Amino acid sequence: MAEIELRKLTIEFGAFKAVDDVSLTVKNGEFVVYLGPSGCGKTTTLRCIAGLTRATSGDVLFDGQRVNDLTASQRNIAMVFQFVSLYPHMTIRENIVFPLKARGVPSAEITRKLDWVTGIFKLGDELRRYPSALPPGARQKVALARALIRDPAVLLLDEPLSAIDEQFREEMRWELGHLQRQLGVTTIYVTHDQREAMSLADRIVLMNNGNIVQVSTPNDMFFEPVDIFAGQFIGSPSMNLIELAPVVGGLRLGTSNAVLTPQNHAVPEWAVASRRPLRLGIRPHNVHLVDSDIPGFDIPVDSVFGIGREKFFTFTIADTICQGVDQRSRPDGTSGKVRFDPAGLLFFDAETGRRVTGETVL
Amino acid sequence: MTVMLHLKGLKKTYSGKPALRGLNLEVRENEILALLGPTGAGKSSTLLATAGLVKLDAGRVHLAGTDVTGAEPASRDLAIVFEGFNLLPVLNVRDNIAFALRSPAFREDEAEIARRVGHTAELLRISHLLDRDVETLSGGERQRVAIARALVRRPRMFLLDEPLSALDLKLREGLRAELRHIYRQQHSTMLYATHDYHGAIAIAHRIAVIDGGVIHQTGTIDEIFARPADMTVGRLIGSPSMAFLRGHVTEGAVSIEGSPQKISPESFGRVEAAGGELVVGAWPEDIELVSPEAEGANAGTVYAVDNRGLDRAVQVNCAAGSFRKVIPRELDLRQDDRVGFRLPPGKIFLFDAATGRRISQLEDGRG
Repeated sequence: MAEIELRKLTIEFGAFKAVDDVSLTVKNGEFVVYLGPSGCGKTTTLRCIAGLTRATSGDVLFDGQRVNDLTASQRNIAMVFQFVSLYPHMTIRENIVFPLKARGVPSAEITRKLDWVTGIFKLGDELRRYPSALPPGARQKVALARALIRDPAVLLLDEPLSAIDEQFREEMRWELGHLQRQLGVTTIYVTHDQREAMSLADRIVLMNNGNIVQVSTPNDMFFEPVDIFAGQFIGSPSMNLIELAPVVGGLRLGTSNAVLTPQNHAVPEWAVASRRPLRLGIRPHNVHLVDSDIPGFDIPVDSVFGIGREKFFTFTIADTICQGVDQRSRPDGTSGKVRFDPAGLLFFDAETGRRVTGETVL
Repeated sequence: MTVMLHLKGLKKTYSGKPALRGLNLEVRENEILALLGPTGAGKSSTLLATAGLVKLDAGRVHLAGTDVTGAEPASRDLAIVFEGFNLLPVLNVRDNIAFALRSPAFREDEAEIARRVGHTAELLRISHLLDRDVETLSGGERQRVAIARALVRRPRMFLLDEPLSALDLKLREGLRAELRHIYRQQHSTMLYATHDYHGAIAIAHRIAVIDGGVIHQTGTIDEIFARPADMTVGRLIGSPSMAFLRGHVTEGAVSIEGSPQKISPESFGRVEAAGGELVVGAWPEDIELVSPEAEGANAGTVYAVDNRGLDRAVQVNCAAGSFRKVIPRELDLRQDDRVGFRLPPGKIFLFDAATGRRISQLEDGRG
């Protein structure tokens, strides 16, 4: 197990900067998830930590030791890829112990380790079978067992669940979360799926265009996004984004008649006084459709639909379809008023996309 | 309430592997019915059989009261939107949408075609794409064009297959939004196949739970929550899905394995004798988490925590099995923590493990 540090890491492919001056420390035993759209540089970063891609400049350190010049096999890492690569002509048992055999580990030690991973991954009956006889999810479990059997300093996972059937993927996510905490192995995980990142991570590293957008716990990522990109990338259904127009004493939502004010929505004075154009970000769970006799805005509601035991509704402001949660006592039809939860109001600079708070304005 | 589609006893076997095993289903006019089931449940076969694109081994297909079992696919007047979009790459968006209107069977005059294509493109917000080649479109745009092509004909019914892969999550959410939008405008009848519970409840009026080539239950989500037909339904409905715990009857009361909580049999309504082992089922929302020291609480351990943003879910393992439940963010539970839980009498169900059938609350009228 190890602490991993990236120091001013830059990786270029020709003129293209895949990773641009990235610094980050992953603590011993931590579960860090690199999240971002395809092409954001997350996999390139992972491959550089693994020793599969060279840094153009900057350093990679394992427990304070610079490893830039070590090959992948010298770094004591274990890596699992999206598409499982098991040896088809070997049984599951042979596949799992292969890394130990290849290093000439004594057979008593191999048996002990095999018992250990078999217990953890609950692989009893599968050991004598061949990879082709297992469903893809189970094969990925074998790949993980093979990765962990030799006590790697760090476990690197590149979209390990995305090629697995949806039903099995959720099961594997629960198992992976449990195992990582049980074993305490430093883990770096790459995914484009915000749901996986939120679920598994101690900290999320959100990337876009080769740069780190935000590094924080899943909770902070959700409630304190640094910009519009972070706000919209995290959470499903997506955060609503509404243009704000300054009017006397408040902020009007798009071209509607609804005006947010310090009185009706505890809008901070700095936001009302802001000279820069602002946009409002608010998550669907902070927008409510309420009974007509409760204070709120008369915004026409387009539709109401259920998700589980929750009812959602949609409304349109300035050509943008927004979503909220129906909280009426008798949820039929589309009559009601729209209320915004003051605690959920996020303000963004309309030009830069950066989040604006009372502190950043001052 | 008119029945638009009635499938009666459909059977279909592909080279020895049964896909449909006597499937019955009714889709009402002007409703969106979600066909919810895992991969391999028989969803695609059901859509293909409805469209007349596979030859059935047995069973009848009725459309708007007419038996169309042997009828040509083209004569059924259905629109199919499958994964993969099947757009014609050599044509631009306008000609792709107009394609069906120019077919020999449904030939319309060009002025009418232009009017309908324009209207449909507007509805799906793709007017600005009409002159583009389909190869230059993004995934979401292609999907909208595919829907437009289906929609332009005003078919009697839509058959839709939701994209499967995780990479298409945004696409899937987009598709659902489009369908709701279309439904509001036209109140079309839709049969919507999905393996995703969220997908089903996000757009459907009713849900048909399919597995193993048969329908296990059809109803509104509230009806299914109130009276799940069997364990398969419990496993496929809910997020997280239903908790199943091994139970038994001792001293005239129901308990789960290794638990002090005794639940009076009266709270289960009329109960049929189980042929096999007894399984106690509860919707996670109804399970009450309490301190491990609380009076009469069942003992459990947190196996793993799943952060979901607004809230979190935990998996609790106990002697009788395990369950998953959403908890508020303020409740700071961590892996390996001990917890107590209680099953609320009157809100839990008994199942026969051998058959999976629900054997409690057999009367009507329970909320």
